[in-house]
Amino acid sequence: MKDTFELSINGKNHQFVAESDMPLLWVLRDLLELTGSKYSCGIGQCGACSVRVNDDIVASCQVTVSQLRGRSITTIEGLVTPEIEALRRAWQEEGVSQCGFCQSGQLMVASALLEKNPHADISAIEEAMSPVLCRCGAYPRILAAVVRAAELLNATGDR
Amino acid sequence: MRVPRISRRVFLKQSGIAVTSGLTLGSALSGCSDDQSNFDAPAGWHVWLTIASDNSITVFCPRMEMGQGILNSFGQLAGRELDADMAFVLVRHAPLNLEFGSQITENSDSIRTHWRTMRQLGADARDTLIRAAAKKWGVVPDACTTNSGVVVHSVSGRRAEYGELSSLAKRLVPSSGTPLRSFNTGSSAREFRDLPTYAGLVNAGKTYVADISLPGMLSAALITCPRVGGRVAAIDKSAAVAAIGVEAVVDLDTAVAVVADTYWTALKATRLVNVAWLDDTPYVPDHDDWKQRLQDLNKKAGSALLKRGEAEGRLSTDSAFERVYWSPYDAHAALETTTCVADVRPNSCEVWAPTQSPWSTYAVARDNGLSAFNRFRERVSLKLSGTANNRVIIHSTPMGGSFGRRLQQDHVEQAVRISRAVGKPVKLQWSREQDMSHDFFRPASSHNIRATVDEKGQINAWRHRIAGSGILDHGSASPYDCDHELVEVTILDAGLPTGSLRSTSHSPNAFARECFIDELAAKLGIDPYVFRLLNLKNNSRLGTVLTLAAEAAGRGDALTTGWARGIAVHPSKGSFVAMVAEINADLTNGIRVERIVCAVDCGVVINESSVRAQLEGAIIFGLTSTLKSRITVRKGEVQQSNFHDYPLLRMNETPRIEIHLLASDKDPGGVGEVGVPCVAPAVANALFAASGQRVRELPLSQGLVLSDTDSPS
Repeated sequence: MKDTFELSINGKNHQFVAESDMPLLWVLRDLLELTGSKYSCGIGQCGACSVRVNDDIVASCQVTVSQLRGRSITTIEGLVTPEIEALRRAWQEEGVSQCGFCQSGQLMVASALLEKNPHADISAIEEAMSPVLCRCGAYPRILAAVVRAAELLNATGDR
Repeated sequence: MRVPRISRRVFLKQSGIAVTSGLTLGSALSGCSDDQSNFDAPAGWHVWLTIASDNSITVFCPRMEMGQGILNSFGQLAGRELDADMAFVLVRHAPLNLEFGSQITENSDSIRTHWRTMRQLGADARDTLIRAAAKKWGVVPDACTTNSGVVVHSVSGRRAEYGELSSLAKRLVPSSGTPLRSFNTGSSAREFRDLPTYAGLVNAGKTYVADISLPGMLSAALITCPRVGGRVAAIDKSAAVAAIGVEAVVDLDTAVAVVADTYWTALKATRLVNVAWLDDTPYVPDHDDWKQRLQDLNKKAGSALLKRGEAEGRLSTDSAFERVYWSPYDAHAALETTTCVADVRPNSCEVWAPTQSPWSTYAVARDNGLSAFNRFRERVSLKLSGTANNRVIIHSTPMGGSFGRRLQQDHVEQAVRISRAVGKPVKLQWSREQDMSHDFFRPASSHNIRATVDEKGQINAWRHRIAGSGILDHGSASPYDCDHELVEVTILDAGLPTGSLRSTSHSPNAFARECFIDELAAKLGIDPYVFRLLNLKNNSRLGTVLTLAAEAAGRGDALTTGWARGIAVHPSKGSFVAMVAEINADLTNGIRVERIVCAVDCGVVINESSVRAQLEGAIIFGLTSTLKSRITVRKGEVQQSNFHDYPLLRMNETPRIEIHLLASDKDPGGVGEVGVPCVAPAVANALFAASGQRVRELPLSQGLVLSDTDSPS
């Protein structure tokens, strides 16, 4: 059954008509053309669809539009923070990206980690990042890039 | 038949770049064979390089990017010789043109095939630009040099940018055979890591096929038979077509497509369709039955793939050592599921697809999307011009991983047929479940290796029998010294579709061989490293990386307390790889790989960062099938469907990886796949060292017996 919804996404209000059980992932991709969040498994196992709902990282394939009323959503397209800027720079320095498909998910989770725990050690980074799969096997460089981003952030004292 | 020269106008139109005045170098060679199989013979320029008046340089790469960094490497090869300002170098997938050959990307051979061509292109372009500047200034070319996109006349200090010279240069006969600059190895670790044109990708992200939106485009979701090879008997679509947003239900014979305004609508509507499947699905043996059947076949002779000396006779002695190993089916599991966009009109078919084989995509699009008359016209156009005409337009989209999966064109055929049926552009997306169960798997295989060794520890007879389906022969020849070798294969049809999966049968063959070698060494009481070296005297490149890996891992030093080591070697694609795996000897929670030390001789290293990334990636790729996952069939159904039952290795399971590249000036060997084969045997051998358990099947978790009393041996 279709209904009208209004969601705040990346600081902008979007109004659209959708079935109430439509996962946020497909709202983003098919209705709003925000295709940065990717479909890969649909069961919350891969992290490719990661978005922020009120500061928490959520698998957008696992939450429906009707569950999001009143929440504020941030996708990879709308993330503008010192953490994400440092990560993007570190991504380039470390030559992380192979196919690039998992990148949105990796960056979303990494930036949330660095916001919460700017001095995360390797073990903490690995645990926090492990929900996001990478089939190309870029984990060593993803890890190095998160470490590097933390260095950049802590050096400038930029928060 | 001589492939005619492609006219520059047609090429530029077809490649989608504006016709600007500028130097274009390329492969308009007469006498160029249209025999695609001869493509790796060096013969002048096989790719295009254009320099426009605004200084932008476009390199057309006839190989497909799937994360292996090929666009970047080709841009560097050409740009370096050209002495370009790399900020202006853009690399694109080459348009379909028979001059480029097959344009298939597989076999880790893109660099091997084209590296000289790309360098020659750049060198000849640079020389032509120098001659243009010299002509402009009335000086001799020898008095000019270049500096990062600018030609300079040293004496007078006069300068001209490449873009400024390009229209002059195009009026000259292009230089050819310009001597190449020496190739600096080892200096590129951080240099040219990514061409600046790719830097933006980190920010924006690539546009994959599922991200595409076209006016009027519909989305399609599939219904597929749970049994492998199922075909449609009848469809009851009444409820589905009545659902809001659903446009059509299309019979594809091996699947049913629901077409709707969004993917979610289509997906939900698939549950409203009742499909009856025919009873004639091919018989696909259950995993255990298949394993038994293949192991039984291993007891008999197969077709000889390789026969040297008198192995059979020498192996009939009771003192011969024999073991059997099992590799199951594996899935590609790229993160981007199988997806395709097609827009079929009355006289044209336009396709956006991630593909490793664009000519195959073209053929499938043409044959399924055009009317019979248009197909005929298209074939004639192709024969006359050597290029894909604009009746069939193929856009090769960036791949979200591939590993061999996107050599297949099933998604293209489906999307084209759906679009043709509904008369609108369609985006077809497979679910992860469909992607997992309708893969073209790495075939399962059973290996029986039998060998004899003399009193000095030299292998003197060797027989490797392989049974399975699909590709089984790659990597089946033993690299060890032995005058009497026999490799036999028995290939059956298992009913389960198989295809190329990163390293193909190199991995199952290396698993069997390198575990066997280890068992042989143990039986003789010889150190596994020493035993291998003893038997690699005729393969010095492999012996060298073996020693490099062993020493880098600290051979002879005390092993980290509580760890155990295993070693393996394998040559493939012209490269030589050795690996030492160190695992935690505490196996209570399963196998934990702590470190992998890898030594590689891949000849001259073109892009060190890329080479390391590919090797690290291949090792992690290999660890999934080594430790965690396999594909099994039961009652004709693939049992795995998603990442909960085909789990991929995660970051917190990833060992420390150390890559040691041998400095070399030999021709480059392949890199993309070569890191996979050694992983499983190195870890299996470490497992033996840790626990005394020989697990002869994958994933190792299948055969591992966990107890509280595991201790390093």
